[in-house]
Amino acid sequence: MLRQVDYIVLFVAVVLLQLFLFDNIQISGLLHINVYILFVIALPVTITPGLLLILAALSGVVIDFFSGTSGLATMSVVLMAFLRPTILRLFIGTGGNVDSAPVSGRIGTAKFLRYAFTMTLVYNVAFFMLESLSLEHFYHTLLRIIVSTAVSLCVIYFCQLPLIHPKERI
Amino acid sequence: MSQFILFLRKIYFVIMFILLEIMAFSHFSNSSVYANAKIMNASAVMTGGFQGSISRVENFMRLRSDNEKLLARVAALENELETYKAAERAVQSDSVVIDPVSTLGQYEYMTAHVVNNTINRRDNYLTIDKGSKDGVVPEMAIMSNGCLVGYIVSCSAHYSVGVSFLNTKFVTSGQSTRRSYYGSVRWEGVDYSKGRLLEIPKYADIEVGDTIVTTEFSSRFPEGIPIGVVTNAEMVNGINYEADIDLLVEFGRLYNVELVKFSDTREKLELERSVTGDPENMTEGEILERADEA
Repeated sequence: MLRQVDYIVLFVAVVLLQLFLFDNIQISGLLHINVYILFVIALPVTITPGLLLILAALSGVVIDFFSGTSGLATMSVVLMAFLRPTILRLFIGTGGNVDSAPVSGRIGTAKFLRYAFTMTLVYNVAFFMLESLSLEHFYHTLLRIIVSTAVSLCVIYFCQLPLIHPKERI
Repeated sequence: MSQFILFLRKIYFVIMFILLEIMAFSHFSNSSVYANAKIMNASAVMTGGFQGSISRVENFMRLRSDNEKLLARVAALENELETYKAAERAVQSDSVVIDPVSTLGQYEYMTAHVVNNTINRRDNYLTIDKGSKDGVVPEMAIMSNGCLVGYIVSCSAHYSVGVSFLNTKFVTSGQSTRRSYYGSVRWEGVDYSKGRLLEIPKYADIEVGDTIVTTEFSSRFPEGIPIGVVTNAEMVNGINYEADIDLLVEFGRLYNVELVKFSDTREKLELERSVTGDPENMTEGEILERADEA
């Protein structure tokens, strides 16, 4: 079970990682690594929907402010948060003993990867489609979505590994 | 009753989602280059120091290749200087120079380092480590190794944010070094090593390998700054040519940049032109650029 203070540390950590590490990786125009969405992905399953949206919007605003994306990150991450309850129901189910963070140490690697992949995909589709705001260069946008989703998912997977104390693992 | 509460809960979630999206979207749709640069400047004041040390480390890794480029550039400039010296000697031998000062110092140069730079967005900006205290003002041209990078939009005391060529809102006019044709140059938002030259008249003798440079009609860039090299050209609608150009600047590894400011001479000319506002004296490229900027 992650406590509030854990989430505050997680928030600060992913934002710092995003701004100072992953935003500095500029090796290709196709690659845009988004790791800060791990904060929204790892929020407790039982969180109230309103709080979920507010926290997601907050993380988006912080990223928008520091990386100059003017609302793009906020729009995408709020959409992702809005779809989160549905995605959680689909991939994890309502039953079971999951009252904590839906991370791999808790729900299993395969389930987590399916859940996190869908969330990352939703975020990236929204982000890149809104950024181009047209169907011009559609295949290029599609390629950006695919490359960025794949790499972001890998990074998110490794970043969430330390989130659960070993004794809590199933 | 419980059904009703559940319904309300669902509704408030949806309403909240829509409100948040509307707020974010209105901010997104109202954002201009200037508004974005202002926000980035505010954040650069907070994170600039740390970003600066990161980019210093990155730069340290490629000192060797940068050094080689620098030496090549020094050699090229020395060659250029030599031709001027020769010309001066020729002039001095048979005539009197009346007012050499008025033609000198049209541009002021300074150097700066890139603190933060992106290439993976549609609208890319770059942050540099000099601000208004160092004499940087908006509209200064940014160059790297003498080639076009972008221009400054917003300055704080110690940092400035510029629009990179890799920004879909960036447009300027370009011409071939042979001065045989003009067009507008922009980035299409796809490949960070390629630009596009548009609206070239169909009678232009465009050739692959032509170097495209800035024109004298720009109020931001000195004339003749290289932008890129034409790689292929095609006729569009039977009216205009469009050409792909390979950019000369490696945007992915930008660190040392030069900033250029027009000094008074140019300003005076601009002012005179804006007062007289004589469109007949405006050349084709100028009209084109004004139209593009509008």
